[in-house]
Amino acid sequence: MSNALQNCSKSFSEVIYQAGLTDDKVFIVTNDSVATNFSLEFQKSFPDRLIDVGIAEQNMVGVASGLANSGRTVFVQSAACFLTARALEQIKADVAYANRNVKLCGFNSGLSYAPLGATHLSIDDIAWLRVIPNIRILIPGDHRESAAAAQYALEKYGPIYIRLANLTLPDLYDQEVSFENAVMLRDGGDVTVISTGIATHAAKEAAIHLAKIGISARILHMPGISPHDEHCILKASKDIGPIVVVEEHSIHGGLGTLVCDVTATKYPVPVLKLGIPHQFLPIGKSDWLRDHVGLNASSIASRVTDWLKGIS
Amino acid sequence: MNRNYALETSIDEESLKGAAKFIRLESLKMIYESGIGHLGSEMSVAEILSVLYLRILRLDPENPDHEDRDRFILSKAHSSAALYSALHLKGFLKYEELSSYIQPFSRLGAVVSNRVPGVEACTGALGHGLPIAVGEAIAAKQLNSNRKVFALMGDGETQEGTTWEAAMLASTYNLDNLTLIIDRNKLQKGSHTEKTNQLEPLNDKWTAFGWGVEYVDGHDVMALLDLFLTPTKNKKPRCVIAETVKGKGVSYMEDSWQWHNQVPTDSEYLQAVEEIKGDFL
Repeated sequence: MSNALQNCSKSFSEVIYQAGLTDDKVFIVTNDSVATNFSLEFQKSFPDRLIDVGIAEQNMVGVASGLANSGRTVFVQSAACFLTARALEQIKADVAYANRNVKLCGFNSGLSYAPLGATHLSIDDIAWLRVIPNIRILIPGDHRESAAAAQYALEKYGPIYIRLANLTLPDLYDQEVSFENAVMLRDGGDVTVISTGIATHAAKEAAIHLAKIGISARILHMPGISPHDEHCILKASKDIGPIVVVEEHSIHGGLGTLVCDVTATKYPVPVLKLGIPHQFLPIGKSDWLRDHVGLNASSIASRVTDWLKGIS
Repeated sequence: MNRNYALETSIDEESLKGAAKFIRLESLKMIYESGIGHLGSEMSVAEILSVLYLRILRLDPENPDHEDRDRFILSKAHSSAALYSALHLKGFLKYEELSSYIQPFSRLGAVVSNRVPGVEACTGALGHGLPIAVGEAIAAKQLNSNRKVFALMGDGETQEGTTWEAAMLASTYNLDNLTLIIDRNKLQKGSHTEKTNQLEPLNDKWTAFGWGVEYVDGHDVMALLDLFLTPTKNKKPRCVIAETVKGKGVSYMEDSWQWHNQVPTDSEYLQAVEEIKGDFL
């Protein structure tokens, strides 16, 4: 496993740039956020193929749909909060329903923009997009998965949402990335922790805390949640029982809800959802806010411990 | 796909008027028989679609996805029956399929979608067509293609904010291969446009956004043909304000916002058919 820390979003955009060198069908459409999306090099090298629509997200997605209908492979790049909220109808109708080859790249997702408050958090995007048919959802957790997500999007026709973090993180694992299958980062026998995206780093570390007090946790990381790996959820239910879900997203509508849907309908087990509570969050820096809502290793470990006592 | 319909002068005024009549009659039939539809809007675009589909758009029904085809985006997607009728005339749809309008599992919905051959986008929600058309026009420019892109919007529809987002970008990119046609029938679902959310001065607005603006009688096939065959000399996207009458062709529907989505009774239907056949225009 590589020890080099690399920025997730930068790794993502680098793959698109490389593709642009040899494939003139690759386009980017963005909303006055070229530098934020690490696409300055793309813009400089292929100025005709980066369309900056300015501050106009709905137009951004509509334009992308039109470009895609002319055979382009289009990457829409924007802050996740504005892309998914402001342009949700365009995503539904012009991309998903029309089945266009448009890749929706939501940068600075989750709590990335914590200092700006509720208007800038994208902690509801998985819920909204998951319920629209025909959108694959990728939630990379490190730079390798982010780069792999870009490659997957280049190769797989159709609407895809990629939820990106602007963070520099260690690799979660070193085997080949597969978005259709969960990755078992650690096996265990007392509880399963299923997480997605960058939240897996805290979940993985929480397992170490839990092990010290004799609780053996299986850690499953899901880099793709639509389609999702239902098999691993059911296997965990049958093998072990209790499941904890960790995500940097509302407890409503995201991975936690997905796991509850699967288990409740197919193999009921207790499920604890650890994510963003159903309230508008206070202002603060991102890492502080992650601590505040309990998305750090020690808080996850202590809540899992208390919960397991309560249900035993 | 080199057929240039613009040169086919055998498709003359009589043919174009005949096509518009067909569009009206078939739209009326589809909506009367199914009990659902937007008759006012179907009637106001009949001549526009007749001219575009019979003389202007370079399309090949045998090859509907030909990359270099012209693009027509029906942004006011509820003029669906009119478009389906025009698509039949062009050869994209068999006549029998028109009677499947809104039947279970039909491709032909009350608003258009790209499940229908010849339809470019799923524009049921208003305000989506112009941004898509802008994307198409940008792609065409980048590919040095001489294909043309058309979008047809309702005038009320231009109240949607995306209209102006797309309008600004179109002039930023000098999209002189893009023509927007506004079906200016001055009515929307609930009332007159100027009593709801004022659009005037429309000419000034589009000019200020960097477009070349022209007016045309939206029910005069030869005026429409002449306008579309005459290229503009500026580098601007083109806004054609087509002055139309909502419900045109049927006396009791004309200029009536109530006929936005009302369905005729049996006797109203018969009267409408007679009037259209007898050219109440």
